[in-house]
Amino acid sequence: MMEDIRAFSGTQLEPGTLYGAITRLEKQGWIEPLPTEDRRRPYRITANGVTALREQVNTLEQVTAVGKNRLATLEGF
Amino acid sequence: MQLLLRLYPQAWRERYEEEMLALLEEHQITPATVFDLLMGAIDANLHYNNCSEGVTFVVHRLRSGIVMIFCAFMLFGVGWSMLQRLADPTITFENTAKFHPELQILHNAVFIVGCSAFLAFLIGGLPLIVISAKRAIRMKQRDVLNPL
Repeated sequence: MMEDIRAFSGTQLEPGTLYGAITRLEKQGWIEPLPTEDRRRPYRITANGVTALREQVNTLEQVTAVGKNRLATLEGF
Repeated sequence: MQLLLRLYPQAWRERYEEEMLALLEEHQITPATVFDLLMGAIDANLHYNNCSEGVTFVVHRLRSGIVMIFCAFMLFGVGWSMLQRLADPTITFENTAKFHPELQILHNAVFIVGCSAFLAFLIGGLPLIVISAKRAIRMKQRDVLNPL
């Protein structure tokens, strides 16, 4: 998960921050743990998590679209 | 690292310690990692102690405390400044100051330093107060001045 985040965002998460997020996501019911594999525990997004993620992505898409439109109107930049 | 993880609450460790240790064994430990784990421990202790706001709870309480200290210092400063402007009724001091002007100088210096400290506190704390007040009004938080 940390490697994936670093690859697509360039941000290096530390384990404390990562598990703070995992704790909250699991409490919200947006992810669920899978059986442990060699002391590591994978997680899977739930149906509620997909819904929440979809809402966030839609919001980000709107913000991105507005930002791009406004940048396009700025001449000389 | 295992020592650091002992700062996390028991319930958290029962659930996540093993996988966290496995992750830390493969992770390059830096000072940032240690600091991050400490912050995570504070957050986990608040989170698992029925305090769902976690670290933000601490930040809110800290902000309320600073606001309270600022208000108290302002009240003290106003009262102290007014007291300093009262004519010293002690004739003994006035007579002594005539013969030892350094006493009067020291007396004035205390007043000047006190006023400077009051102004410095006011200038430094006023933006914080304004921001806190705006946030409190916007988020309808009535306990901004309640540090307890």
